[in-house]
Amino acid sequence: MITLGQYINNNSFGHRLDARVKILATVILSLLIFQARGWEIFLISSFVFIVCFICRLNFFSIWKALQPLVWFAVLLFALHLFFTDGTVLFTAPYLPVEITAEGLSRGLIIAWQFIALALCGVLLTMVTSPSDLVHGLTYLLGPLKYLRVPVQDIAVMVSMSLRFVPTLLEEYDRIKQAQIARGSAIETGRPARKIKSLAALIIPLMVSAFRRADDLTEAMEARGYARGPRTTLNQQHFGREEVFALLVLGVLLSLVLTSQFLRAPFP
Amino acid sequence: MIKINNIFYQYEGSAAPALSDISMEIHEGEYVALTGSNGCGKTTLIRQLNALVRPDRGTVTIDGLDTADPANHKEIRRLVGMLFQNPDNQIVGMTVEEDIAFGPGNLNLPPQEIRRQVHDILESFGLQSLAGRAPHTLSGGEKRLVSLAGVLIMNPRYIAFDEPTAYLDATGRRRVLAMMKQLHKKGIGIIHITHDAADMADADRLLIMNRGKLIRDGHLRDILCAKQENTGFTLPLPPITELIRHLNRQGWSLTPDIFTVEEAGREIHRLLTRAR
Ligand SMILES: Nc1ncnc2c1ncn2[C@@H]1O[C@H](COP(=O)(O)OP(=O)(O)OP(=O)(O)O)[C@@H](O)[C@H]1O
Ligand SMILES: [Mg+2]
Repeated sequence: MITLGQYINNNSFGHRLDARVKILATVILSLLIFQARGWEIFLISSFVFIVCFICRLNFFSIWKALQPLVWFAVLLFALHLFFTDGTVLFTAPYLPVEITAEGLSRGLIIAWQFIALALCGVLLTMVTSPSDLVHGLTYLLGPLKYLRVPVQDIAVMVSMSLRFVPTLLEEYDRIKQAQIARGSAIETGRPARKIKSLAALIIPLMVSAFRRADDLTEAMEARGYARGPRTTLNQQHFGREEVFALLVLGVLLSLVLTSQFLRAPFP
Repeated sequence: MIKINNIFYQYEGSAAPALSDISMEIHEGEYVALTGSNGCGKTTLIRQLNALVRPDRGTVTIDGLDTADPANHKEIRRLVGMLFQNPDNQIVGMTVEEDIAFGPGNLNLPPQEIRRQVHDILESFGLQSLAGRAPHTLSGGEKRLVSLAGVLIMNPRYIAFDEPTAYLDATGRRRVLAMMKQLHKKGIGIIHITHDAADMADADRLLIMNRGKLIRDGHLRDILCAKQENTGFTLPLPPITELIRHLNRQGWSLTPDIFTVEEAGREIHRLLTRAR
């Protein structure tokens, strides 16, 4: 599935917050993560952990969402660890491998950045429903309409795709089962035959997707859809909680920026 | 009133017309059953009612609005609700409540108003617990109900149901049929496509199509009672009717025009009481 974390509404502060604020916060945090050095790393990490607590998220499900990425982070860490020149800390016996202090710190930072970015994405999708996410983005990208970008239509398209991803996956499964039942080698054959069977699977899937797109257009038209502005039941609200969240975000931003300015006042 | 006047329609690239020379009227509050063999054009006909396709020749007007004029389409689509053959393709929202809100959103109602209407309709369908569910996690019967809710929220004057009981189990089927009957009582015009004579029991009128033509149009009972002429389509009678006719052939004298279990029950009860 394409969703990082599973959205389960437990009506916490984080869940209630307006999607626009959450998207903005995620963008700002991501930028800060890229810039962070030294104690800023500690600051941002604690901030993200506190957010997890405030949103009353289940750490196990966060871990499950992050798990596939952890191996990649380990790989990133190892690459930097082994292939960075600098002060040698340790030389492996018999192997042409030297571990340097620079490699260790670079590897740690890169792995942390990677995990922290992924965590922000997971957090956002865990506390925001896909539709709120789409509507929040639609709002934030709203000014693009002055460049004649049909933001509203794109929002409908994105929602539709999100709606139909699981259905298409089901369809894929159904076609696959049907082909296995008729002796396809998709699961048992040698690689070359497997690839051929896969091709035989993709075509009916595409045909069915196009057919579905036709039916879908019809269903939307039948219910009065026309291009252009439309409303939804998503209400955007900007209240005290949103102001508070933005203030906290502002404090974090200024702390990190001040720290960076003190470290290198004249870039 | 829905007025269909001598319409012809042929799909692009197909050899024979899907609809040829069809004329009929459907009045407000009528309950019309529509049947015919696979591929005879039933779905194509109801797609005309909602301006999804427009006739090549002839006219379709809905309460005086001609479907040929694109300016009428928004209003026509509000007036005529459509329940498609496959509910999977009808549900367009990411969640149940969002799907039901799709129609009102197209009418540009304000969010609070949409929220209120969606809440009311979920409540009347007893679907509150499904509000946040993703459509692909619903059962076939639930999908039907959700798509019906999405149609009803538009307050349509007519609703076309394309094989609404397909894929449903006995309970789901009864539930959907009861709901249709209730809508009819509220004065909504119902057009009900079905292959099953037992499903038509509540209809006042029956239309039979064959190869793009309307071959019968009349009172449901009259058509079911009449000896079927050789028109290329034989409507299978409900099993209960077959049973009664079978008994009659064996020498019993039951009223032959019986189409529901209730009617059969009354008749057999009458006979048994007399025998006792
Ligand atoms: N999109 C299309 N393009 C070309 N031909 C079509 C298309 N849709 C339907 N047809 C053809 O038009 C005819 C009528 O189809 P329609 O779907 O209206 O039949 P139906 O009575 O609803 O059948 P069923 O009982 O199987 O649902 C059929 O011969 C069909 O093959
Ligand atoms: Mg059909």
